[in-house]
Amino acid sequence: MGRYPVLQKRREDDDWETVGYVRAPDREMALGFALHSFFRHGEGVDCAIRDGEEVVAVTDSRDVVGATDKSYRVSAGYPLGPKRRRAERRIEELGVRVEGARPGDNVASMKRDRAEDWDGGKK
Amino acid sequence: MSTVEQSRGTAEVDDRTAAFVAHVQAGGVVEADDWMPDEYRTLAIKFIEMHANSEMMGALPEREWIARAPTLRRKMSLTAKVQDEVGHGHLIYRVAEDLGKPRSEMLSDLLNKRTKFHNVFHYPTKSWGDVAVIGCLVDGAAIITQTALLTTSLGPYRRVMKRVCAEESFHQRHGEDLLLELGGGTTAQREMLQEAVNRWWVPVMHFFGPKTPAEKDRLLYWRIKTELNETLRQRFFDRYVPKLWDLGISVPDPDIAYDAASDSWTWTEPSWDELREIARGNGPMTNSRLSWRIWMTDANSWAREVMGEDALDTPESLVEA
Repeated sequence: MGRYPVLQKRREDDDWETVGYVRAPDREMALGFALHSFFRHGEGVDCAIRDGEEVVAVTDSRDVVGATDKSYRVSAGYPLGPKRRRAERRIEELGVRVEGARPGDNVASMKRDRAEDWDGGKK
Repeated sequence: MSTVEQSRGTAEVDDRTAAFVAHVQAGGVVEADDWMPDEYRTLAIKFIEMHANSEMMGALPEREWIARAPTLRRKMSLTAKVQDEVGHGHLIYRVAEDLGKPRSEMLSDLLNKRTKFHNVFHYPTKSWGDVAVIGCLVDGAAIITQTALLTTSLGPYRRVMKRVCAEESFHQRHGEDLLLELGGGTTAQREMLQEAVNRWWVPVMHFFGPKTPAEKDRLLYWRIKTELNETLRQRFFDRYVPKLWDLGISVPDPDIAYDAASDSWTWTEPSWDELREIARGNGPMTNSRLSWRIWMTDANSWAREVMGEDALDTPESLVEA
């Protein structure tokens, strides 16, 4: 586990300031922990960690604002549509779909459920 | 005295009991402080206590994977789910508690193997594929049985199940998300998923219980339960077998088939011996999981002391060091 100092910019024009540190196995986790530990209440506009001499900032500033995102706790946080379409393509490519009578009109259940999917309004 | 239909013919019961039977069988609701026959109270406590035990113990198999989850978001999802399950346990214990059994007694009975928890939580989780199967098939089976409890005759249980089912909808989505990810993934991911489905299929069939005729099911008689085991299992087949087949994942039952004429599935009934062993407290992970719970109970005993509660009767760890 590495020790990563956490840096913050309160406003766009501010310099980086050290606000604490996190312990994490790698950079990605360190940035995640930093966001969740230090930016939960919208404390700044930019977040970074220091890895040795290098400063690694979050690549998308929306992540800083959205550190309180709890979408993983709700159904809408799992948009199945795109994942289902990807799986359908993969199964077709492999030709491994299991045939057999199904309830209803034999329409694949994946297609049957598609109408109910939420995919972040990207359809 | 009145005559009511019973599992073996008719029986003479007092007028108050006959009125109660008529009330619940007509869809009436019973509140915790209403008068109720002793058999109703005893069966309701036993059923609801096992449900609460299962929520508490059901958090453990997934908890084992939080540290091993492949991404931070997956860790958070699992953590949220485990937190929900424990929360459901507490809500459901409260219902049983209001029927007259103290919570400390329920926890002691669980830890001392005097009461049971669902069979599926007595098994090991060997791969990330198991997390997908638990999230989709095991939780799917649980959601089907829990949704049927939304019309149980016991009012407080019905209201708690409304909240539990709402939260379970996220669990179901999370499970299906995992299933699609592995099913639509690499060959190694697909093999891992198939292996997990093969291992979990019989426990999931056991989860619904044996085919019991309606006239022999006392929980149905009192409408504590509202559907037959086999009705729920058929609903599970309707929903999940096509999902697996669409992903090219087979079900380890050579006879499983949907018959459009009867609108039902044929399937192979497994041996029930394994389920009986688990019911005796001899499942593959029974002692290990209970030992975790015993350790946690002991570690948190200071909180009970602070709150002025009696110490729980906890056995020694059930696994050898």
